[in-house]
Amino acid sequence: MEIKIKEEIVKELKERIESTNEFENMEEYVNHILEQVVERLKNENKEDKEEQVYSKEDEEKIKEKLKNMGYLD
Amino acid sequence: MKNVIMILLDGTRQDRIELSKELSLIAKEGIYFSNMITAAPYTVASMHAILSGIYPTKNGVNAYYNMLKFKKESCKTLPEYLKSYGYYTFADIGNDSYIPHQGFDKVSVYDVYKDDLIKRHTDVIKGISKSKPFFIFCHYDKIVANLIVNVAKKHTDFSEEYFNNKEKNIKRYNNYLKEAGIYAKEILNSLKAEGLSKDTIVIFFSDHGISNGEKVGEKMYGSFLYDYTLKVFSIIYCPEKNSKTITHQTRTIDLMPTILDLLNIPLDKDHEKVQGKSLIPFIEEKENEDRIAFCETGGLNGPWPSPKKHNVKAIRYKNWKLIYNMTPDTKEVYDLKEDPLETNNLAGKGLTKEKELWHLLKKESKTEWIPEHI
Repeated sequence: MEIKIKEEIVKELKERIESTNEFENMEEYVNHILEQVVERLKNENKEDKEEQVYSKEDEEKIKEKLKNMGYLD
Repeated sequence: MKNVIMILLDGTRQDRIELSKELSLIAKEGIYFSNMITAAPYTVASMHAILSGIYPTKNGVNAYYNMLKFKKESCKTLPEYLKSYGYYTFADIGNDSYIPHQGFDKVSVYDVYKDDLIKRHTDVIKGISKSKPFFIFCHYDKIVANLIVNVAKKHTDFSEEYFNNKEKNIKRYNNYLKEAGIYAKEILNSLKAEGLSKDTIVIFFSDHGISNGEKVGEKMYGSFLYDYTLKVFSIIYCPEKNSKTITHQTRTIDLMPTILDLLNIPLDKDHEKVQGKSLIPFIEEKENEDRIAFCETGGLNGPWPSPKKHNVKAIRYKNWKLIYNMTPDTKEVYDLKEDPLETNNLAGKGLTKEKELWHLLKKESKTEWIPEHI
């Protein structure tokens, strides 16, 4: 797969590679960045799923609190 | 160390403060942040963000149903900081879920329909031990409580009777706000009578505004992100600091780091990074630009209820706002200087501003998405 990267981004990344000495070349650096992005996305999706899980007990407890606040009848 | 008292005037709209002579005077005598934006327009999410200095997305309380999901291991609260510096920490609130309890020595809950809050809170000030510094958090919940009885219980979010009687709604709200002003004045009088004024930082602030019938679909707050619920205020009374009005845009998440900064308490690097920033540079005139404000909500009611996950997000910056309504997948863009009532939606009209705001919104709402190595 070939992907075109904007010139200004390539310039920034090259400067970064030269200043850090952590990466051999552009490909290695870009892959490293994308790995982080993918990892974060996985975690975000995991967090989203976790947040939406409520036991019946939890849900009743929260509804009761919302009633006390006057938000639910 | 100086004492700290935070007074939450729940549901006070910034644009009505001048109608209360007491609040006007307090704003004139203190450091008044007149253009402050809440992180979320309902108390539970707003207060967890204020006391942690961290937006709802990161602190865990990012929906009505997530009110018990505050990330207490990673997010350090203002009372936790103060307690670790030897403070006695106390809160008196209208419902025990409104604030995180981490760091409070004692939290008491009143009955807003029975208790006299002026007497109750001035008694707290009179009775507090002066043997060590203290942090008191007092919640004035009468505005919201009165509106729950007289609006929320009587109307729906689409009730014609409510939305066709805006003047009546405004008058009703303004009367409740004037009572809040009298309460605030009595608190200050009590501090003076106890000789505490010179040793105490007092912060009057609001967590969200309230609709007076501006937009059909929201009779109170929490469903939309328009300015009548987002625009709040803060007035800081600080010994040795002169009065001042700061009109640049600030955020409610800035309050917690400001209080710590006033007390010379450094932020803890072992916890989740605080996203708010001290407001002292504004007071010292070293900062003079609007700060970017990100806001989010998910209504219990309204046209697209989402009590388990925030589904409305907005960015407000330099008098422009972009709102993203995730559920119907629509955008709204407003030029707030020309159109403060947000009636002329400029989304989809090819404005460069829309692209800029969209980029900002994505950046602010998913800061963790950006790779660290860049």
